Amino acid sequence: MAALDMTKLTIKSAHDLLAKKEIGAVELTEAFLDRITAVDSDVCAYLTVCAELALKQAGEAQKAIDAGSGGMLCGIPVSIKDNICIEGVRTTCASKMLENFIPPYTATAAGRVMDAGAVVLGKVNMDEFAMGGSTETSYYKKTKNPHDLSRVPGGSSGGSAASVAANLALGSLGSDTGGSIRQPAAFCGVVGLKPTYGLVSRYGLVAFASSLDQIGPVAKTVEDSAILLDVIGGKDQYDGTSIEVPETSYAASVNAGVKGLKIGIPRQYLASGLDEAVKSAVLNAVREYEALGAVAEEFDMPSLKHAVPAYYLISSAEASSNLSRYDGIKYGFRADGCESYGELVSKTRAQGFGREVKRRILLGTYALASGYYDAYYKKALQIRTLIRREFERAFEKYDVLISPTTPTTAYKIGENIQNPLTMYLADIYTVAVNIAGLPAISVPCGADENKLPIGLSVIGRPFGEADILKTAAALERALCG
Amino acid sequence: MTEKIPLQYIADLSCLALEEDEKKALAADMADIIALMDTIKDIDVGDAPITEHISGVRNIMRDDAVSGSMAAEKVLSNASVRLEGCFVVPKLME
Amino acid sequence: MPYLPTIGLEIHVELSTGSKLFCGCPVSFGGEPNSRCCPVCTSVPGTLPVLNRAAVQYAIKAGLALNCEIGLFSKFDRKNYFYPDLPKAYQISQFDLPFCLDGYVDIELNGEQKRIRIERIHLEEDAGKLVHDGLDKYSLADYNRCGVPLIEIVTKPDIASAQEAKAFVEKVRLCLLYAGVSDCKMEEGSMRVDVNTSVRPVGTDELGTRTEMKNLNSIRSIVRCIESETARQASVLDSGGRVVQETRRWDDNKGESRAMRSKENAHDYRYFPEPDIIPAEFTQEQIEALRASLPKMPHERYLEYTGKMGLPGSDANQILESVALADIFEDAAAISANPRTSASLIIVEILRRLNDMGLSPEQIPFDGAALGKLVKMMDERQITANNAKKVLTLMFETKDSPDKIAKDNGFAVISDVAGIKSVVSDILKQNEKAVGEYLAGNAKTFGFLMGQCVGALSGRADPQVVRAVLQELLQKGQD
Ligand SMILES: [Zn+2]
Repeated sequence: MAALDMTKLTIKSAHDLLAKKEIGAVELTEAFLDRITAVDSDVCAYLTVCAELALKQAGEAQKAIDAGSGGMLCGIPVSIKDNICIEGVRTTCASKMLENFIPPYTATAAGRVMDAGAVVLGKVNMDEFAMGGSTETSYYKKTKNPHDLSRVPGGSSGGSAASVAANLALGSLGSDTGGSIRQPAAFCGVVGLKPTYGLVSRYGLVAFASSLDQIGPVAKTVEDSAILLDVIGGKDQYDGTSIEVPETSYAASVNAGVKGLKIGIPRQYLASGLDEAVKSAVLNAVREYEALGAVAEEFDMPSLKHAVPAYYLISSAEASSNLSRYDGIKYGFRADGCESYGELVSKTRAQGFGREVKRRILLGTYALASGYYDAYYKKALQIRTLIRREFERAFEKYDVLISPTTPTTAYKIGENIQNPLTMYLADIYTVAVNIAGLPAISVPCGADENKLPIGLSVIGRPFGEADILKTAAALERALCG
Repeated sequence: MTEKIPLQYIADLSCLALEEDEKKALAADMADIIALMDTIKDIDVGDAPITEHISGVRNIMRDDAVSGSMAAEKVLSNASVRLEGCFVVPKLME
Repeated sequence: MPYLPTIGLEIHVELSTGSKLFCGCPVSFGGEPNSRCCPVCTSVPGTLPVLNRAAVQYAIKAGLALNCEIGLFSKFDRKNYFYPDLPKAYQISQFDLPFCLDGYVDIELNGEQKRIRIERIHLEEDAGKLVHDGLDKYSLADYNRCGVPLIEIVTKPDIASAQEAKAFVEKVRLCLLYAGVSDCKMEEGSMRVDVNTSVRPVGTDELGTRTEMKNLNSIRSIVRCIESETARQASVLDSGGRVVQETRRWDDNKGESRAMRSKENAHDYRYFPEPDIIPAEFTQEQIEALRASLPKMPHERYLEYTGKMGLPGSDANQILESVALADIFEDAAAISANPRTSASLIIVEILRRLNDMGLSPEQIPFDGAALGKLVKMMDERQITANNAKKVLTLMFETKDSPDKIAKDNGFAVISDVAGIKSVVSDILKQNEKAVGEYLAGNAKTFGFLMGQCVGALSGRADPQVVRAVLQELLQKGQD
């Protein structure tokens, strides 16, 4: 019998082996650290590897397992997106601006996975301040798609998705502002879940767009995503927008099945601009659902066509404000040789931020500036209301909605980065979910002719995570048998 | 045709000291994106109210309880320049 | 040409909550720089504000105390600007839906009442402090004050003189002290005033261009600054110039102001709804409960004091200057049923002692019930007025009740005539010569004997009773 490659396990299977003492937590962590050393120079998922911390956490996890007190995540090696703070561990947001930033506190979500015994292997790459869809705007490195190293892993949580897809972590925490978990999950052939706004604490997530950001899991299976969500979800006293929800087990919901489930497909999501391969994989998934006893139909959501401009207005406006704090004085990069406060701030920001971040700051400032606010920002908030209402109406009729996660499969590194507008328009299937604060999951539903993965998105009602998990899991079982 | 973007004014408001060539490149990018944003100007939203907050809930507040502050060294630990327990700011040009 | 000023005020008042507006750092004054800071109030990336319920309640109470309408739906907004005392580069404030709107305060000046309207009161966070002293190229930033809850009270331009501004600020200060929402210590910066002034020629209605003077922190400087700015604007106009709309800085030492160089973009604050804080919504019942929790406001108390309690207006005002004094007075008056004596003990005796000891009224070590008891003892002739003062002195030193102090120190009045008789007859025995002189017809000796008796009783007996007993016993001797 060939030796077990522990890096190919899932969270669930690794947990079972750990619990049965067939593998040890330290041994498991070492296997991942070895693989990171061997493979990550190609994939470039990690910005910081915390070998020492990881081995220490693994040792403690083993003690908990031995004492019989370890939960589902105990001893499980994970990666964390580099915009989620861990006290004492460099957190850069993939920006020159935060090259030497060591957070003095730990994000609630990261704290919860560590408290549950998970082992933090390191911090993974992303688009600078989570702005981008290919992880190419990172100041430090370009992460590759493990399915084809010449292609992007997606973004902004490209490091999270690539680390999981390349067996460099069993799971990851990413963040999703307009598709930043689901789109890289789709590109890398893994599962990514964006929770309902308010389900997972944002405390410790370096803000991009506060009304849209959510932390969520990236994992190999739907069940693994649910296991991570079980740990990170729930009210947090340090986030005034986190919401009290009844105690549930998401992991227990994945086997519920879809018989009788009513599925809606927004017609606007199957219209022009969609790759044929992606479209046929999605339609194939619909047939699978029907075969499993669900009822699916197309319906109209006319306001969806405004989602992309509304999203870029809202997210850029909030970002312009959230990123104003980087002035060189309290933390992060500080420009040299400045004689006045104004010079220091404007040079620090000009030198510390990359092109994409500056573009968004300028756009956001423009959208909020006196004389433009009503036409742009206020209008976008009104459209936000319209989009929410359309989703509310849809959920009166359907239990879940499905759509492609992305219009294409992963593209070549460098292919789109010179054309921001193309990149922005590619977010068409993901941003409306953030605008409406809904939960959505991307699950693999096939591959194109280049064997590049295709993702299907399942969108649920507010706090309908159990619905989207069981729907995604049913397809996962149907396709992978 | 989109109106001309007051880029210098916006850059000043954003506190970004842009070089001339960077400004040119950004202006070109932004023209495209603003054309996209402009598509919402003509949408009839009727009397739809703005979404003040996405979650729809109200009144999340905390009790007035004092919890520990951080040691001053830790407060200042990420500042690249510090003096006498304070952050250091170049003089303001008033 | 004579000009009249039109003045509007913006008053910033720090609320006396225990913790800051959005984090658990303590609210206090002084201390080492950056010693009351945490990741939240120093804007460390990833941190979030969580709203302090008490601060919201205080803001609403302030509104109720100043006769405002309370908005049932309120939200917070971000006010964006770069300044080194503002670590997030935005201030969390309230733009279009503040907690309180449309209030007023009635002031009295030279016997005439005038209503000053309040436009709005909103809740926001305070900024940090920049220290410039002794440094050439740098300022130092201390964020201890960052995030301290602050209300901003904005008036309509209803104020027509420096004296009206003074009366208004004093009245607002008193109302907020009574509402218990702030200590209003101008010298510690917990109450700061911005003054907007414009002038117009007498006889016209048209408002002139206004200037803004920021961060005045004493009543005296408010008065001086208004007078100086009115004169300055008048002389600009008289010399054919134009008043420029600008922010000016008042230099209290020089007694003059100068224009601050204003940055062109300074006023494009790009307000937008604060996404990190969920809006607040209240029911009318919740607002009424807060209203019911407010103590009586000073103007209401003034009417009671000068009405059925019969105090002169000046005495009422003197007591009303401090909530602690007013509370002690009201309790004492209720227990003793004697407001006038209660008031006079406070104004004459207690205030003098506080002054001598350098204490504030809040530091009075006994309550109004104890003072009331003392007044009652006086009224019931259990103690003389003179000894009551001695008891009062001891009440500042011990925690004992006035009757215990009176008893322990022998201040209690000897009220039984038999007891007095025995003391007096002892005195007469010791002073046979004087008694003989009196009996021989020297009436003046009576005064001497009376003095001896009062001395021996050390003020513990009613002099009228002593006199009667002495006369009675001397009479007997005659017979
Ligand atoms: Zn704090």
